[in-house]
Amino acid sequence: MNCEQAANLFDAHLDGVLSQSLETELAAHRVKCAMCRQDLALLEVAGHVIASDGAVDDQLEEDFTDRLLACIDGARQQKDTASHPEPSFTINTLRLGGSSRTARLIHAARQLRVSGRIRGVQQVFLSKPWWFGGSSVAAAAVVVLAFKLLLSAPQPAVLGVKFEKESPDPELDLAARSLVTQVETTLSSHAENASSVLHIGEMTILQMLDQLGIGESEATSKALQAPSDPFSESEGRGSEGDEIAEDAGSVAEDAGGEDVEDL
Amino acid sequence: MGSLRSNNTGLPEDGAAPPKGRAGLPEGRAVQSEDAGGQSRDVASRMEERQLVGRARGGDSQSMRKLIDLHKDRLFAFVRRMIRNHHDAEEVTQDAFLRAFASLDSFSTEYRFSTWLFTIAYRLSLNTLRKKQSLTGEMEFDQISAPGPNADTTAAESDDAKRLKSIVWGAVEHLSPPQRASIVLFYRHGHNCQDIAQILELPVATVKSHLHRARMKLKDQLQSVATQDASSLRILGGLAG
Repeated sequence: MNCEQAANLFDAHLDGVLSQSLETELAAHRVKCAMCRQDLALLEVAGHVIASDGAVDDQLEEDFTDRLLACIDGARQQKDTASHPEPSFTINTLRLGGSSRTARLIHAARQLRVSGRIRGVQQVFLSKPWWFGGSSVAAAAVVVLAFKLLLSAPQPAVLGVKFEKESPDPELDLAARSLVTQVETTLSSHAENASSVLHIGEMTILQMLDQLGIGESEATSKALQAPSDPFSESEGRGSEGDEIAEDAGSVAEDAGGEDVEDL
Repeated sequence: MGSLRSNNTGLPEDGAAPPKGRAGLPEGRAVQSEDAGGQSRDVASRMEERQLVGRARGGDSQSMRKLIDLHKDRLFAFVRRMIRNHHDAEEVTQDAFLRAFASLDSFSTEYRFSTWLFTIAYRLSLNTLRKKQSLTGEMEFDQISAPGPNADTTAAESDDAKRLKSIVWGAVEHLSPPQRASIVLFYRHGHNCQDIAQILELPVATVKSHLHRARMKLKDQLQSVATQDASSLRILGGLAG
């Protein structure tokens, strides 16, 4: 065996797939050829270092598995949410001061949100932080605008309702529209003494009423009759009359009010 | 150097035969794949793996946890070698698991879960490297890390041995991604050419070619250093037996 033939066997030797007879031939050549001996030694040493050097591997963080499982869980929940109808309506209310009716209205709206849609809203915030940032900026802009307008107008209890998007689900669509109608009815009574109905988003409340004039649904009626009033604290704050409390709670009605899920 | 595929070498053509024992590997690892006990253990682990995958498909988080714990360290070590940055490597490892679990339904249990996982991780590593390359205009060799301190392995090491390791790993870092992946998977993770071909989604002959070129580069690098340094030669002689 000459050096060229021996060199052709190096890879097979290193891979451990060389036949016994050729291994012997290579070994014999290795004994008598210093050059091939050194080449093979270098190759073997490189492999040895790569295979056995235990000092090179960094370690993962200890909580890697937990974090990963949490991500998998989150991704799965997102998938589940995507397979169900998204909340079709989001109603944002801006309150200045308050009354028991306003508080009840908002409480009812909150209850509706809890009964099925707060999860979806939370996920929007978790998975799309830009959405949160954008919403914050928009909310700040609305508050500033509201301040300016309110300086010259009598203060309405509720400034506006925002109609965000339509639902592909007709049942959900109907229920949500009913809620908006009820909200609007209450708003109208509060806005009787107001000099104007403020614009929030692209529509005024009255325009919205024109578009959404649909009857009540049982689910929303029940929710609106909720007896407790969790806003007593904010009412007290509001009654001082010099502080705008923003309640940008996202409210959406699940289809028929089913699958109540208290989070 | 001659081609690996020369006809008179007596090699299996497809390279699929399991290695009988690899020159240059520590003894335990070299004989691992040839003993009968090892094979039965392998079959048992594959059975267990299939069961775990089956349960994970059904959403069993304990099975997912087991699969993650079984593979995370090896996968991270591989990715870390590929992209040379701890933070990026951790992200790629996490992403690989996420993608694997997200598409677990499409995974065929006739393959090994680890092979599939490594394939995903390799693709993600290449993407990360491409992104880095497009950002910097060149490969980032400045992040090459010398072997870190490890009390177990370095306590008895001489400076020469440390230097040798540094040279070898430095040379590995300068290999092309497929060469680096081939050499790391072969030596570090004990995969044969067939496995590596599956992971890298390349023909076996291409993997052999990558391995051959990687070895030649490593040898040349070691040789150039060794000729300048008599002590390195002594170490090489000692390690090679």
